[in-house]
Amino acid sequence: MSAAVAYYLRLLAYRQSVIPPVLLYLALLGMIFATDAGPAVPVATVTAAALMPVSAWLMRLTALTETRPFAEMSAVALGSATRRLLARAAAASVVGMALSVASVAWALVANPHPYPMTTVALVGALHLAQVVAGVGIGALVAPPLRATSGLAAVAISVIVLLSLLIRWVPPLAPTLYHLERTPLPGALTVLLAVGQAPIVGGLALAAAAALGRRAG
Amino acid sequence: MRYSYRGAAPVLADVDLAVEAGEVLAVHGGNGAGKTTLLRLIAGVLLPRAGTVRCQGRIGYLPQRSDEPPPRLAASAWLAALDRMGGRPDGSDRLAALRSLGVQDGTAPMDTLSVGTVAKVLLAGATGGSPGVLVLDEPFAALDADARAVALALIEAAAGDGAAVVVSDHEGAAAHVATSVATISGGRLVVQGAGHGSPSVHVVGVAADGSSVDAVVPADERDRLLLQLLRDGGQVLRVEDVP
Repeated sequence: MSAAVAYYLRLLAYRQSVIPPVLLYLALLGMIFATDAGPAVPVATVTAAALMPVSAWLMRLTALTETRPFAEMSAVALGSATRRLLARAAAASVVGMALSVASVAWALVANPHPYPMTTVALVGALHLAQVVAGVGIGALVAPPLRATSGLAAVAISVIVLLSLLIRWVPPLAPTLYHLERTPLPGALTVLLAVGQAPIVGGLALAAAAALGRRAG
Repeated sequence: MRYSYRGAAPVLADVDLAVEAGEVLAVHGGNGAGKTTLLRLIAGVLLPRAGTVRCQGRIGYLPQRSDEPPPRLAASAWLAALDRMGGRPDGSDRLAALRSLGVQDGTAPMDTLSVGTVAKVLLAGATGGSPGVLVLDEPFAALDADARAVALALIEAAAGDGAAVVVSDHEGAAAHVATSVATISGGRLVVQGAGHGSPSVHVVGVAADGSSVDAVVPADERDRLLLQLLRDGGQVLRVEDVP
């Protein structure tokens, strides 16, 4: 599996289309941390939430690095389309994790508010959870499932909007609205805010795997 | 087994075939007959709606050619990645296959290569790695005469090493190495018989669903194919001996 992840990361490195979402996210971090961004956890909910659609798009781009004959040969070499999906998801997650590290590091350097170790761990977990959610959602709008770029962009935007507008819709709302006003949240709140996103991501990946096995 | 794409009529129905180790099965049929779907099912790229596919050993698979550009990766790097993904770190036989097909330099990015050269890279990727089952969808398309001869030799070598080989072939080149022949029409397997060495006939017709039937079949299977075609409501347009 590690060979397949390395292969997809290498293909991603050759694609210029990876640059816009990465730059967009870094630009967002630049804007947020240009002035006093506020207490550590509330600002982290925003930077983590922004990572979800970026990760979803990265997953789509990873799947698009191979055209159909090459993608089919990868699936056969790996043993199944599900393994190929997991390899793609892992590769997209690696890029998402790198952005998570960039976000946490940027906050530590640029935000004047205190960042004790427990807060750093929570901030990191929030970002990684949204990466997993984004990668899973991205798998539903990526080959072998049929979705044009326009349809994929609309689908991801709708999920983001719904999750922003309705305060219980995962994966963004529980993160944004349960932690935003709490400087040091309780364990249960953290569990809900962080834990729901990987569950959403996992379910989305499972759905993409099931649908992909039929689509080829 | 049976397969249908979502919301569409079955592409394949009641297909039952077996390919033994060392056998080369050539699959014939007109456009839209279901050859590519059959091969994708055998390779495991698609799952049958009903029935099962059982393969012994690692699968080597050459998908149907596409006009989409390949990844911006050197052919040698892609072949090495394919080996590592298949758990075989030593990819020397795939590179050797590529060289035998006339591609000496595998370091150029694949998106700069000609269509024919990419076809050779894909063929090297499929035939290398000592597969136990080799599934090739139109392997001779876009190949020049020399590369076709090498491709036939690679198929024979794989079968000689004990691989079960399934080749879909629109151009009749596989007849030189096929030990058995299957003909698909309208998603059904209409004939499976002996391959090279036995006299063959070329049958052209139209199946009941309007799809074309264009198949080279063993002469002793001719009457069965014609009867089946007519009984299903199709038409026979031409039957001629293959020299």
